[in-house]
Amino acid sequence: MRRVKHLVRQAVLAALSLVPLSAVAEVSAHFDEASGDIVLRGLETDQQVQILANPDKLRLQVMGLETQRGMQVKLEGLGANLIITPRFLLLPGTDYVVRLNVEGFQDDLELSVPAPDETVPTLTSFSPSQSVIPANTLRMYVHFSEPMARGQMRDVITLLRSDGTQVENPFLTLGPELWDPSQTRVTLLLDPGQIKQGVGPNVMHGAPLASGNDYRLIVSRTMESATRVPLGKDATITFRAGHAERRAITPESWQVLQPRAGSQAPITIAFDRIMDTGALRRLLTLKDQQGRPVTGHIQTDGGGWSLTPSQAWEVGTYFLIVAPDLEDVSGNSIGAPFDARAGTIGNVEEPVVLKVNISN
Amino acid sequence: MSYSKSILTAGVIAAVSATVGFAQEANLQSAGALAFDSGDVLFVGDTKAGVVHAFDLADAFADQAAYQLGRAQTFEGRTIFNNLDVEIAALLGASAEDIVINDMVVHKPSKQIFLSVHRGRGPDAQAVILSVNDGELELVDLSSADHSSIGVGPIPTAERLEFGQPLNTLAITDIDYYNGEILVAGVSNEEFSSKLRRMAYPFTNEVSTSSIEIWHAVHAQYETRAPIISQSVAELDGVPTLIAIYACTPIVRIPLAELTDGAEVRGTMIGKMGFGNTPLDIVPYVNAWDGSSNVVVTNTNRSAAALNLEAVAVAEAMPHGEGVQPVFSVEGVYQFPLPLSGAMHLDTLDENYAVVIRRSPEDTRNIQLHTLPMPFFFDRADHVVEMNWKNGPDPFGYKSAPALEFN
Repeated sequence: MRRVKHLVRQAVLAALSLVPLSAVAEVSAHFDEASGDIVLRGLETDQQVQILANPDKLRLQVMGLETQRGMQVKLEGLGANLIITPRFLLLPGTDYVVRLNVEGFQDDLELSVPAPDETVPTLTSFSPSQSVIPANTLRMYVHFSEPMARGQMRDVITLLRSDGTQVENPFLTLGPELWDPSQTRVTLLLDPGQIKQGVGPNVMHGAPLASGNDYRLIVSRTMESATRVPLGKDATITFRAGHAERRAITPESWQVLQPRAGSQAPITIAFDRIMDTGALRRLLTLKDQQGRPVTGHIQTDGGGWSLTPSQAWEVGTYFLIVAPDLEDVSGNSIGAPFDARAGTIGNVEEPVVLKVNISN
Repeated sequence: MSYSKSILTAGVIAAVSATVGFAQEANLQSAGALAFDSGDVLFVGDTKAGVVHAFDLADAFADQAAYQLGRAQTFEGRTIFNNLDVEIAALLGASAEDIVINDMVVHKPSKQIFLSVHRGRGPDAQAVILSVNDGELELVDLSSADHSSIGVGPIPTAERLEFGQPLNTLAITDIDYYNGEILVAGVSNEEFSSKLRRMAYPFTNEVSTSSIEIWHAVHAQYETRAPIISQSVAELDGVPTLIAIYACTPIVRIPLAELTDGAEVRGTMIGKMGFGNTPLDIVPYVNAWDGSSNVVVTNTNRSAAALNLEAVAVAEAMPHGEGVQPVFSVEGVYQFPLPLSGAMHLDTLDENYAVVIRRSPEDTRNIQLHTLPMPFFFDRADHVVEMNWKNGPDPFGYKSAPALEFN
């Protein structure tokens, strides 16, 4: 990659050396997308010499920054042109200015780096997707069509009751926001202090969600993608809070629907609650008699889980492996409920294994 | 672009060669929590890569002994930078909105300040480490440092990758070094885990995890798991002890020896920082006036507090169990309130000065890198103090001190 860039750069430099001087009448700055460099055209020879001898006479900045500091650059004279190689690639969709202060020429030369495709982001899904969720729901996921910008969640999410009043500070605000690596899914944690029974905030303000009430989660139209394009319109998610779920997870109570051997029908699990969809994809696996993972297409909405195998089922015993870290949307795990009477919280380190017998 | 066209029509291979000589960046996918060992090794929490990096910076430090930090005798700190975000933006060629300062740590032997910074807010944000040298911002060249790393986040396995790229991450919120080991605190985006990760340095690829169940005094009858947000290791009566702070602000004491691999530990809840508040940093310091050992805890919504380690050592466990009423406010081990709010990051420079990244008390848009005289983390100029008034009393002779002129 670096080599290609180098070759392109060579070609650029060569071409520039052939541009007749008359073609560049006044001093101007241009951004070259291929190399990432900036080309200054039209400088007098002595001006160029001055800059090369004293690079402080040139500053490269984002337009509008109020500071004397410039970006680190490398300078190279080439015929009538001065090539500026910035320390970091200039940012797309950003206006820069080259500030020159040489004898006979003081000016700010403006240049723009083209913006990438301005795809408008949309909110694509929300989890848990059920219309009724536990009143003590701990974790929610919001998915977007585009990578989104970090650092704005505190300002763009609002939780409203059915009467239009706002739930105050329902979400835990940590320093880092909890995004996936592609920044298309964000995790919202309802403030555990308000969910936990008997905790100050819980007793004083009540839980963020009250059983039997309807809620609207609004994601503001101002929320921006990583390329600074806003959603454009508010996204609204509606749900009702149901009974709180305060039981530990018991895989033995799941209903497993077994497919027939020889078929490629999905194996399906119906849970007794809403599980965490993010954790399910990672922490629930199926293995065959030889202990090899069964591959295929997994679907889950948290209420159920299915795996459509890429190869037909064989007669015999398969094993559903439930990792100990699996949680439901309320943070209950196999070892223990999210909060429990003092002294009762246990810890499970080993996975739970459910046998699934496949027959003709 | 006409410029590109001219290249194509010219179609000539250049004879002039240009060598670009910037140092190569180390492979940082992100740069968050920072810590130094007792020497020259900088640890960088890389949430995106799911690792902690260790860079041995060896000779890369510049001694800051000649840089004046303020005048502690008259409670005067020094603003090293106003509009720190703008200055960093200028250095990195970005707008101030595209700059995120994730953490700050001081290399104690040289008193150099190090910052972890992101250039951009998207998934392709560039991670850099900056240092402050004699009041100037510099990019740290990590490429020449000895580098090693250890995985702390979820490790994708081949079988899981078949279902697409993993979405789970561990947001690393704090790293602490103590006696040949680092402790890593973090919050998962898919689990509400109370695992504490502990690993030897130099790295051996072994990560010891302990599961910590805690009492919440505010919980009265209930106990729960929760992730540690910030932590510090201190010796209490000669026993190495983890002092851990949680998102819903309890202060918990756990002897380090109990944190063995796979152990299930019940920490002793000894205090409560008050709800409606998230702790940011916990930093150990020695009070040079009385020789006592302490930690200072900074908060999002409350001003900072100091905890004396002798008091932490002897603090009774807060009451819990049946019949105990919930606690709503600051309780438990004594917390000395400090006049320090708006702090985003804090560390100590030496026995007399701390350094803070904060919103200026006079203009909250102005993010300052500022020193604070210890042990009170108090800069007289920030406050309405009658000694500051033109005709006010001057019992301590502050006004007779010559005006500060910084080098």
